[in-house]
Order: sequence, then C-alpha cells, then structure tokens
Amino acid sequence: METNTMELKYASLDARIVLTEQEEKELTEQVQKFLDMAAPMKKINLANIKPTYYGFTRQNNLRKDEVKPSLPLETSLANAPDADDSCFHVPKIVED
Amino acid sequence: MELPNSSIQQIKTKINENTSFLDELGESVSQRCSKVQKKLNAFISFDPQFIAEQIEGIKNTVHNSKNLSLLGVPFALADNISTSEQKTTCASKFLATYQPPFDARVTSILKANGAIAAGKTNMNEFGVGCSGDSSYFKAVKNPCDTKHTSGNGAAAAVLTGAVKLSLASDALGELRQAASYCGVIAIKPTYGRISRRGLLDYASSLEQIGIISNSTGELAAVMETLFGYDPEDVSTLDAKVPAYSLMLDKNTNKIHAAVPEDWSDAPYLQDHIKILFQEQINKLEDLGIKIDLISLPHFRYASTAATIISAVEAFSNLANYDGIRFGYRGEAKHLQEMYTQTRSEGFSSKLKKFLTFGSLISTANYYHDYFLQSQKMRSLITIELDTCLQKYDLLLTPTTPFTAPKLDHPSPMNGELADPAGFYTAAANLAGLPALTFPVNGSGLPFGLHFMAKRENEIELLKTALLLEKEISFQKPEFDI
Amino acid sequence: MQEFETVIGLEVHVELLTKTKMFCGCSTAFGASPNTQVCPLCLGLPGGTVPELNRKAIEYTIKAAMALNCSITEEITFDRKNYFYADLPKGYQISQFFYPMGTGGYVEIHLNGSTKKIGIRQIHLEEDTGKLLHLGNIISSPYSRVDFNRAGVPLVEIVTDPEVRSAEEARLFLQKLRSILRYIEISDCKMEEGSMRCDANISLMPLGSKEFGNKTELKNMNSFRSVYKGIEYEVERQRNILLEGAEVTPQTRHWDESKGLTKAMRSKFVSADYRCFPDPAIPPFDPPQEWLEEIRESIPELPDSRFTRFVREYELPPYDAEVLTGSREMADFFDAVLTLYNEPKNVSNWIMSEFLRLLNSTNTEISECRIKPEDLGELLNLMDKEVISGKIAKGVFEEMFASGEKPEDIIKKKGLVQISDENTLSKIIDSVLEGNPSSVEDFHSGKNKAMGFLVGQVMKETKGKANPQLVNKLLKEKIEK
Repeated sequence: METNTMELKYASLDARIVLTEQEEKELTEQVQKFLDMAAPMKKINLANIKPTYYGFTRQNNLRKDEVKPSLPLETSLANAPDADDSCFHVPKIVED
Repeated sequence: MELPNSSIQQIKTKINENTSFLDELGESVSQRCSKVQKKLNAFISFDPQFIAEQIEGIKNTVHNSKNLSLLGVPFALADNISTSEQKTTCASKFLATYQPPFDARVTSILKANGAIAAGKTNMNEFGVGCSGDSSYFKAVKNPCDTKHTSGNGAAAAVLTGAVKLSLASDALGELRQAASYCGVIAIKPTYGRISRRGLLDYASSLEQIGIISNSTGELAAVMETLFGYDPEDVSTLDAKVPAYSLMLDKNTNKIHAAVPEDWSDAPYLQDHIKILFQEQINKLEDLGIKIDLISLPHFRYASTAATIISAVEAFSNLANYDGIRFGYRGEAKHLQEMYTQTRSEGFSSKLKKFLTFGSLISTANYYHDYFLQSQKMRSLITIELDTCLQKYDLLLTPTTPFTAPKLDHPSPMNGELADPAGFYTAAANLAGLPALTFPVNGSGLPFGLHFMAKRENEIELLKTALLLEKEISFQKPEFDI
Repeated sequence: MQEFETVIGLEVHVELLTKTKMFCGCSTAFGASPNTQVCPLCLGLPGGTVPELNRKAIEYTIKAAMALNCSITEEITFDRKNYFYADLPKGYQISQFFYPMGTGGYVEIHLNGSTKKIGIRQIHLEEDTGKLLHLGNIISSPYSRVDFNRAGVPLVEIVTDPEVRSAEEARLFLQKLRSILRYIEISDCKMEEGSMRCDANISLMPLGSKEFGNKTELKNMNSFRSVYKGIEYEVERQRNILLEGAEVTPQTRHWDESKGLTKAMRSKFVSADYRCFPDPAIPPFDPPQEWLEEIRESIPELPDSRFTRFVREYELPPYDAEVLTGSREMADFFDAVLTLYNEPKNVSNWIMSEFLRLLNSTNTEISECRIKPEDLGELLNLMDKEVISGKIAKGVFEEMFASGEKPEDIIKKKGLVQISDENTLSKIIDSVLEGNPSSVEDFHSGKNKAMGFLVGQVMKETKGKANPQLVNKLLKEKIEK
C-alpha cells in the first residue's frame, strides 16, 4: 500500500495538527516503511477471527444513578488558559 | 544512612525505633535524588521542600501508622500519573504547568501506606516509546553510561537508589524496556491488577501501571499493596490479591518454560544479546528449569499490531488536548485555527507524527486492513499465548533486542513508527498477561530476561525472579553517582 | 407539471430523565449555573478517570427501544465518534455506532382515519455535548463561552426509516413519539428546553421513482410547529429548485424561525470521517435476560393499545380517544374517574370540554392540576342524583380547579344544593306568574318564547339552584291550568 502526501495532510488536519514540510517528509517515509513491514500481517487471512478491542475480558459494572459531588467551580476553571468567573472561553467559532 | 542499601523493612524498623530517624531519612532522600537529578535528569518534579513536608506529616502521625506497609519508603511516580500536590506534565510542553485536581488511585494508596513521594520521573512524552529522547524536559541519561538513554527516569531512579520503588506506565513494554536498559526488575501485571484511575494513558486497552524495584521480595510487598479491585475503575480485576510475600517462600515445583523458536528474528537484535540470551538459557537449565523451543507463529506481529492499536487509541485519547480546559493554548483568531496552533505547538514533533499516523491508520482507507486486522491479530496472539501458557509456566525471551541505545546518535531505528524495542514486550500488552523483566548484568550495559505468565499468575514470575536472584548471584550494574 | 414524492427521515434526540450523567455521578439537573455540574471525567481532564456506566441510562434506553417495538442488542457496547468542537470536551463523543441498543422497530401514526407505520431504523444511547454561549449570534460573537454542565448527559437518538412523506406526518410522528416516551417516563421531551430535538433529512424524487434525490439535513427546529413549518418550507424550496431543472445541493441547513426560512450552514473544516471505533475503556455488557424481562414488564399500557381500548370498551369516538390517550396523565385521569363514575361518554365530555378548556386557558399541566379524579367522579354523581344542576356543576368545577376543594364542600359552603322540593318551587313559580301577567298572556296567545322568560325568572329567583326539569314541569302545569 502506498501512502500519498494528501492522505497524510488530511490525516494530520483531522488530528488538528500541522506538520512542517520536513515532518511531512519524514512521516511519509516512516509510514511507508511501516506499511511495508506490516504487509505480511495484512496478508494473513483473519476473516474468521473476532477482533479484541479491550484489555479486559470482564463485563462492565453498572453504576447506580446516584449524584456525587461535582468539582468546585474554581477547581474546574483553575487550569483553563482562558476563562471568566464561570465559563471557559474559546476564540470566534465561525471564520470570517 | 545509606538509603540504597536499606530495605523497606529496615526503614520501617528504624522509624519505629526512633522517629528522629525520619529527619535523616528525608535528608538522605533529598540528597540522593538531587545527585541523581543533576547527573541523569531523571526527574521532572523534585522538591526537597515537599519531601520535608511529608516527613513532618509522618512524624505527626507516626504513633498511628507504625504498621503501615510502606512507612517511610521513598517512591517516585512517572509524570503521567496524577498527583494533586505536584504537577503532572507527561513530559510535554502541553502540560508543562498542569496541576491535576485529584490523585491517581495508586498515588492515594502509596500515600495512605506511609510512603514518601520523592518526585515525578522523566519519560518519553506521554509515555509513547522508550527512546528517552522525546521529553520536553530533555533526555534521561543511563546511570551505567550517561551517553546512553535510560529509557525513562523511573528505572534510573530505582537503580541509583534515589527511591526504593517507582511506578510507570507500560503500553507496548516501555516500563520493562527501561528496566532492561538500567538493570532493574520491573513487572507489568495482568491487565486490571492495578487501577488505571488517574493515569494519563495514551493507549487504554494496552496500558497498565507497572512497578520497578531492585529486589523481588520488596516488589512482592509493593504488589500486595497496590493490586486490587477499584470500584471506580471498571477495568480492574475483581479478584482476591494473593499474599505474594508469604507465597514466595513456599517451595516451587520444577519450572517449565517455553522460548519462541524464532526469537532471534527480531529486527536490530544485537549479536551480543543473542549470545548472552543463549548463555542465560543454559544457566537456567542448570538451575533445573526445563526449557523448550516452541512455535508461536504470530508472536512476531505483536509489536506491529500493538503499534497500530496504540496509535489509533492515542489519536483519540489525546483529542481532549484542545487548549480549552487545561494546558497549553496557541494564539489564533478562530476556533479551528486555535486547535491546530495549540496542538502543533504543544506537542513534540515526534508525537505529532505519531498522532497523525494514528489518524491516518483509522481512516476508512486503512481501518479494515490495518486497525481491524490488528485487533484480530490481538485475538489470535492472545489465544496462542494462553494455549502456550496452559502447557508451560513461563514464556521466556530477551526483554529488548538491544541494550540501551545511544542518545544524540540518530540510528535507523529512531525513524521507526513501531519501536523495535517492543518486539518481545508488546505481546503481553496485547494479551493483557503479566510479564517481568529480570536484569542480567555482564560486561557492558545491562539487559533483561523477559518472562510472561498466565493471566493473574504473577506469583510464578516472582518465584522465578527470586530463584534467579538467589542463584545467579544477582549483581547490580555498576554506576557512578 | 411534474409531481414529486417527499422523502423524510427523522433523527430525534431525547435527554433521559436520569439523575446523573451517563458515565459519572454529576447531576443532570436543568438550569444550574455554568460549569457547576462537572468533574474530571465529563470535563475531559487528562487522566480524568474511568467511565462508570449509569444503570438507569441503559435501562431507559432499553425501555424506549422496547416501547418502539425494536429488537434489543445482545451485547451493549460503546464506540467513540472522533471530532473536534468547542462543546465536546473529550474530542470524541461516546455513542453506540456499531451495535445500537435497538433496531428494526416502528411507531404508528393516525392520519386521515387510517394508520401508518413509520419504521424505526435504530435507537441508541450517546452523550450530550456542552453548550456554547455566544455574545449575540454565533457569526458575530468575538469569542464564545463554554458551559459543560450538559456534557455527558445521557441522550437517546432515534432514527426513522426514510418513510415520512410530509410535514404533517413528521409532526404526527413526533407527537406520538413524545407521547410514548412520556408514557414510559424516560424523558420529559420538552422541545422548548431542548430535552427533545429533531433533525430532518429531506429529499424529493419524481413520483414513482425508486431513487432518492439529493438530501438536505434540516436542523434547529425547536418546537412541533417549527418542525412542521421548517419541513414545509424546505420541501417547497427543493421542489422549486427541481422544477427549474436544477439540482439540490446536499448540505446542512438551519431553520430560521423568525424569518420563516432555511439557511445553509457553512461547516468548514469538519471532516466527514469520524473514525468510529469501539471505546477501549468501556467493557461490554450483556444485559441478563431476567433484567430485560423486568424492564419489559415495567412498560405500561402504551397510547396505541389504550386508544384501542378506549374506543372498544368505552365506545368513545376515535377523536376523543386520541385526545384522552395523548398523554399518560390524561388517560390515567380518565381511567381513575371511571372507577368512581362509570359513564365513559359523560366523563369524556366533561374532560374534552370543561377540563381541557381550563387547562388550556390557565396553561396548566395535568400533573400540576389540583382536581383529583375522584372529585370529578363525585361531581358527576351529584349531577346525576340531581343534587346540583349541570349549570351549577360547571361553576363548581371551576371552583374545584382553582382551589382543589371537594365538590360537596363547595356546594355546602355556597349553598348550591338544587331545589327539587315541589312545594318550595310552587310558591316561587306562583309569585313569578303573579308578577309577570303580560308574559302569561303572551304565552296564551301562542308566543312560546314567553315560557323561556318565565323559567329564567324562576332561576333568577332561586339563584340558579332550581331543578330545571321540575321548574319546566310545574310551570307548564300551572300556566296551562
């Protein structure tokens, strides 16, 4: 499988990351190398195998619908880069 | 007092004999950590003042805490384990000043058992990999040779006696690899043995908190304290924690171990590791361990599959790093521009590439052939390992194909998305099995023997480690601090 | 002129009436001040601990799925839908992408005297997002404020098959859906407060065609009325485009209630690829059969079967039955009155006229109403026993509605008992006849209207308490003498 630069650009944008030209070049090579290495695994027929998505084999526990204390407002906002006394701030949503 | 040579039990006894020993202890921990920090850059947060405060705290309550299992024991946490009293940075610019509003479960347990938090250890950014070179706070040097990486600060801090034990996370084997590079013992327990609450994980389904120690006996004691069901973490095992310390002394049946017949196919496997490992197999056989070469046809894909899974999970797990509620924020006029500025400036180049890879490999074009295929491979490898470990007590391999790589020395493997260091370790993460690395110290840099055991059968690993500790005249590697 | 067929699929979001959020114990109470109902988990803080699934949220979703005639998934799993937006704290929304809670159900609507089934493609549970507060509107707001109180509130999404054919059908469907969900008490379904939201996928195709045309997704319809008007508008808009021979652009459009039109929303930078994958931090859960049975048994008689019962057993006109079963409270009220006063048609008449009039004019919900069913039953009994007249009864009913007092208390207090004593009435009638000789003459000269006037005079004298039938009878006897 060949990865093209456009695919990589879209992938980085979907991760909200901008790669420098240098990084893009390096990553294209890395991905290509990785895909080559992964090629034998890709070829193995696993059609009848069920995927495992979890690290656990256990079933979930269901929690009772009981209210627990929330964080104090000051604590919730303490690490925010930009906030007023009750809300987080984000820049303009719609681009001009 | 010589901290590195005092056992957990000795520290406790001395405190109980005379509380004034606590001052000496605090002083010693601070000095030791300070030296290690200067020489190796093992810590991200280390504050003698904070240590002194904890010593005062213990003094004031010592009459009630005589029997605490880890009284006065200095420990370190990797900087992706939440601490409400110290910042938690994940070795990232993004979180350089982040102070969590809560303690991780393990942090609370250690505190409650009288242990002393010496500091937060350095690591790869967000715990991705064990190259030691992606920390925003600079690389950690190997105590045995400062030109080489130590993988992470957790292993270096234990080897050098700055702390008695340290905790770090392990998603593809990072914890065990670092322990192998530094010549210490480390265990990654069965998935669910230790609560993951408060761990800033990048790969939820693979990642576990593990323990690094210098001694099997002490490791057993710490495991007893840290293992156990956490009602607030659904991923923890609802199983009774064995009394490892007591069980250690019981006689062991003859151990039967398996080695994958193609173990030497690992990319970048160093010749001297090949020789050393072969020697170790012979030594183990001399100790009465029966060893068979067996076929594990899919073991070799473990690292590839785990890399893909971890990259996709990281892409998603780290999507909350958006500059709104915490951490770094980049300057921008609009929301979407703010995201890209924030994330492109807050993450290292290496992490940016890793997350982009995760984003790529989970798109519709790649999902089926790579991500889904990897999750299926995980099933297959799990079945293969479970079957093998029904028959054998242990699966034995080297921990890493090479000893600690050189820092500031670009090698072809630095450019790999799948860290070749994970060739032997990643399978245990995929299958959620317990694994332990035990140091072998010959000439040159240390390296580790890697043992995997049945699910929840950590005792088998401890017994083997104890056997090696007694029989192969366990020597700590030499270092100069 | 070419004719078109309208194809509409609805996506309805409904907030569940749980006390706490989907994965943490934060309260879901409406109207709290911003960011006071958040914790590390729903705020998406690093290492923000482990999701703990709310049993009630699962139960309610299953209950809804059953009430909508869906089959229930054998294994409950959750997936991550990955995208960046300011109201989404984790950078992904937890939803049921691969295995919705229920599939293949239907809802029946009554349209022009016939019944139509609208297929329910799926119903699934997911997390709600936070709220953006703009300074003015979203476009001009120089920055926006974010309140995460709503983030993580359990939300059920119900997706119909593309079988809705008109704005009227959409409105009827929504009303029936709301009625069902309120019957089973899983949501209050208040469109105005946002606890019920509806998006519509709308397309037109030439009549008889098998191939759907390009669709638009219509959002921001905040009442049943605006759903109707929005769809009407959008259908007309598309029809005009198609009649001009142009193509409908597939896009998301917003209904602007004040202007009465739909507008295209620019959504730059939003990827179509959500990279949905199973959430590695949430273990699957297989609901035990007994639990499912319990849930099924907890479902009350639903509007459709109640409607049928009301028509068959009580012989009510379908229109009355439809209104009475429109809400569970109303139907319960009706059934409760019948236990005391078993004249369904009579009760229905009272509710349909007097009761609904009062509820509407005072804007009162039936649940807040002070009249008890047994009191209405008693009132109707008193009427039948001729203790009071129908006219007086209406006044008493208004009094009951306002004060919640019992009818007999009001009647006693105000001395409203009907005068049915012949002697008493005879005396009053005699004096009326005496006082109005001209009317008596009019009557005898054939002017029947005079009779009415005389009855009115008697009622006036008795303050309306005279038994009207008896007054008529006695007056006739006396005047014709």
